[in-house]
Amino acid sequence: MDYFGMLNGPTYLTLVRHFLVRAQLYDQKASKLEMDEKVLINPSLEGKTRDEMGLEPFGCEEIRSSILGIPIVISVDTIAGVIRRASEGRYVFGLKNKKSS
Amino acid sequence: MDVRTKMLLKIQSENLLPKGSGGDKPSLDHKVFHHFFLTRELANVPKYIFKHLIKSLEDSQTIKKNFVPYGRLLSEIFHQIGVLDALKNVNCFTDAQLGTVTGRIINGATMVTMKLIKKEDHQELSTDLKESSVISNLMDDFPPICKQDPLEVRVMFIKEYYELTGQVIKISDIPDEMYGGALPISRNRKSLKRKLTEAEYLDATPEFAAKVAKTSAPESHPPASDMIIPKQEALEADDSEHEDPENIVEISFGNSSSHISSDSSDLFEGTLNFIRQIDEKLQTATQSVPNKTDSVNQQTPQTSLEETPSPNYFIPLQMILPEPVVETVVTESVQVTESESPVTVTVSEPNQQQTHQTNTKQTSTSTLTPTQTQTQNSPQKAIPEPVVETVVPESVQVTESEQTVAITVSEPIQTPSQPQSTAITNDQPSSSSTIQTQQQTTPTC
Repeated sequence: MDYFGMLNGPTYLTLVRHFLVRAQLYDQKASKLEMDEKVLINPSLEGKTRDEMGLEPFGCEEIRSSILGIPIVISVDTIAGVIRRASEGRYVFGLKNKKSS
Repeated sequence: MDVRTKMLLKIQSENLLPKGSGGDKPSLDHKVFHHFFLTRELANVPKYIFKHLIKSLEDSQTIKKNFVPYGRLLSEIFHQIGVLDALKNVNCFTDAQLGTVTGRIINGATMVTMKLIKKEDHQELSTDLKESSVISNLMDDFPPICKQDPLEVRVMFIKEYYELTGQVIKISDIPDEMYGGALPISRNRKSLKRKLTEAEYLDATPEFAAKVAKTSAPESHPPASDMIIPKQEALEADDSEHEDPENIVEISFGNSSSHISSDSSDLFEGTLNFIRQIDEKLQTATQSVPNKTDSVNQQTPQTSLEETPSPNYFIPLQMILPEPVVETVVTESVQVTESESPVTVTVSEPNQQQTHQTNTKQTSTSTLTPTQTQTQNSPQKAIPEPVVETVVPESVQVTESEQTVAITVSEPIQTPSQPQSTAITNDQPSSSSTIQTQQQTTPTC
């Protein structure tokens, strides 16, 4: 219920707009692209781990952006902290409508 | 779907998983999520929100869907991360610059627009939710008081907080300033000129105590016998501020002899001799009351010290004699009245003035017959209180007489008792003739 209590407040459209314009999803696919770029630059790094490439370990999916030069990273834990609720429970994904006809 | 399901779906499509369109045709993800709500199954709401945010972000980048969800949630994240504080430091915090808006509210009017209820059934209440622009606090369990608040406010808040929660807020935990800037405390010109220290703010008594210790410490709580002496010493101490602080300390304890100068000591001896002479006269005049003179001699040193600074040596004796002496005179006179007659002596003491009682001592040789006393007593009771009070010692003057008659003097206030006293006095001459001749009283003015 803290989430609904939090909803009644000011919304800063400018900041949200700045955030979404520069927002990028950093997921497993983005981490692989990052490693591929490293290999293209230095082929000797092929087959090595992220630590050996000098990259940070991949933790979870993140939305990375910046507002006026301030880097902002939003993850599930960030949202869970804001709405004051643990990231627990059931999550169902990948469902597709099975149309019989 | 019933009304409850429709409203839950409305809330879900507006807040939890906003999709920017109506909730008439929910997607499969919305249906599943809605199912969790209806069945009260625990769902991972943060993850649902995050995934929905990612999806809307991909849509905006791929199919250019201009819909920005979770505006309020993102604003709260910015606030919690500290972006707003950073912008506030660079003076970029106005509503116009930030584009501050507030969202819509789902209430009874929404149900009317959804045609779930009739318009007549809807009624706006004062308790309906209103748009708020209050920024949430960053710190949890932050006490909304600071040391700039008055002491009473802090005490009352701590007291109420303890009654509500049972937790005690320590004074050391109270911050110096309220978060977000200084409080709009109204100050006068004096307080703006001079900033109060912490000790002065917390308690103003140390300043007062320091002043008392410097100048007139004994004035605050002097003993009864040193009511006058320390004041003189304090005056001397003020005149001679260059003296050692030890002397000031001694003054505070009332040691008078060590601080009287040589000039004043001469005056002191002269006045002592003068008062001793007066005391000797008093002793001779009132030999029947030895205790009285003793009491006077005991208190004469104090009275002599009173006169040391004053140049006038011939102060009337009335002014020199303190109150307790007079009171002893009255009581002793009552005791001395040895009445051999069956009539008992009842002397009621009204509020007596000191001056008249001192006169009674000097004029103790005059004699009065009981008839005279009658004539004096009778007008006493006719006269109102203040005059009668001066006459009452006359009846007390019976002390030196060897008579056997007892005189009953009723209170002058009690006017109804007047005929009784007169009746008694009328009986006295008839009963015994010796009484009339031997009675000696002292008339006073």
